[in-house]
Amino acid sequence: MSDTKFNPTESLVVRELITRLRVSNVMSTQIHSVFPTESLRNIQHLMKEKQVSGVPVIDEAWHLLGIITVDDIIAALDKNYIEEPARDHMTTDVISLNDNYPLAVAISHFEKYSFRRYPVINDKNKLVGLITGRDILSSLLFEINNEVDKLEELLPERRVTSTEFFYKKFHIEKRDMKTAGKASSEVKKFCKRSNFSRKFTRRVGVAAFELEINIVVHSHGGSITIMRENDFIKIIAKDKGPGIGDLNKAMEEGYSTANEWVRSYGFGAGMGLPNIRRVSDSFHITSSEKGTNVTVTFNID
Amino acid sequence: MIVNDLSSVKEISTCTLNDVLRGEDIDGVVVTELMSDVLTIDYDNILFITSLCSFQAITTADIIGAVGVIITSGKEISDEIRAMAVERKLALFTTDLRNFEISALLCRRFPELAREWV
Repeated sequence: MSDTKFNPTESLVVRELITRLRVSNVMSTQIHSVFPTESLRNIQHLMKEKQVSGVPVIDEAWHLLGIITVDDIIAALDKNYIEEPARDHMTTDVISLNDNYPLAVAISHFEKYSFRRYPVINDKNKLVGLITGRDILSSLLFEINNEVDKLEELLPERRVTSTEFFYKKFHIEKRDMKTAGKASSEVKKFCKRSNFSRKFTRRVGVAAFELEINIVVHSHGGSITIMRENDFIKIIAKDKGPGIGDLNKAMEEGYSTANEWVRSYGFGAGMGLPNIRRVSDSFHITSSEKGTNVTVTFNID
Repeated sequence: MIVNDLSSVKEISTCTLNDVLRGEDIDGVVVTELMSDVLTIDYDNILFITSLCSFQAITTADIIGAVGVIITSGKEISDEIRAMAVERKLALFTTDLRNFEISALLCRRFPELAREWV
């Protein structure tokens, strides 16, 4: 990986985006503001409830008068004036951005000053939004993906040679819902790249995902190995126990031993193994206290 | 009916919708909180409606090749989930209405879709 710090203005695509996009395209319009008479205590509660670190202070016509930040609240608690009104302690010389400025100007503000957010005002000096670094990154990510999608539509379909090899092993931790889906997403990408049919891709993805979820919710952890061999894809799922008590019952649709935690994620309807068997061309399962092994294959059409 | 038609429904807010997805047909709708139910679907171009605002809902939609997800009941979409939908090339919408309410509304507004409900 390069040691050179990424400079967004060096990329032509990004430069075009930050010139074309306006602050109004990117800012958040959900503003939690207060009047000058609001107590710092109430502002503290507002910050906690809405999970914000800065609250603009406005008049009744929505003109920006100042801002209260987390640092102001900390000082107020420390020096015991938390019950006092915002107007006595707000920062009044607020650096704001106009909603019509190009995003490039907003970025330069973040580089120049150390603030984490900027109020956004319109030509009538009324508060219309707030912009943070996260807003900018999210919007750029979205727009760049948009550009990539448009380019992909223009490119001719890429065909992979029939001998393209795929082999990957994924380790899966017990109760790790956050990473469940990684294996199925990767194999889905491989199938799309290989120009397999949507139906085939879906079958493989469904089996991989159900196998991942089974390991996460029902076992002490395990692994999934996915490989493409000539004209089929094979998935091998192995876990470290505790095993399936009644395999025949587990293969029945609707039979489930899932607890509330599993159901809260939308799983545990007793469809996992039946789904896997249904979508695969061959299905083999063994289980003991030491663990459950499932091997499924999909004939490439 | 195409994905972009959802943007015109005032009860629906658009979170992410790229230009390519806008023109995609919606050929079926699945409404459920059970991910395994979704994984039994064998249609293309599905719209997935659920109140479960989670990484697993987005992953499930991606696995079945859905074109979009509507998260119901006024759930707040985190930046991480929004970014995941963008990365997985899924249109993501929210509504304050519940599953049945948004389903009924869409059936009235787009009668051709009513035939394809799951």
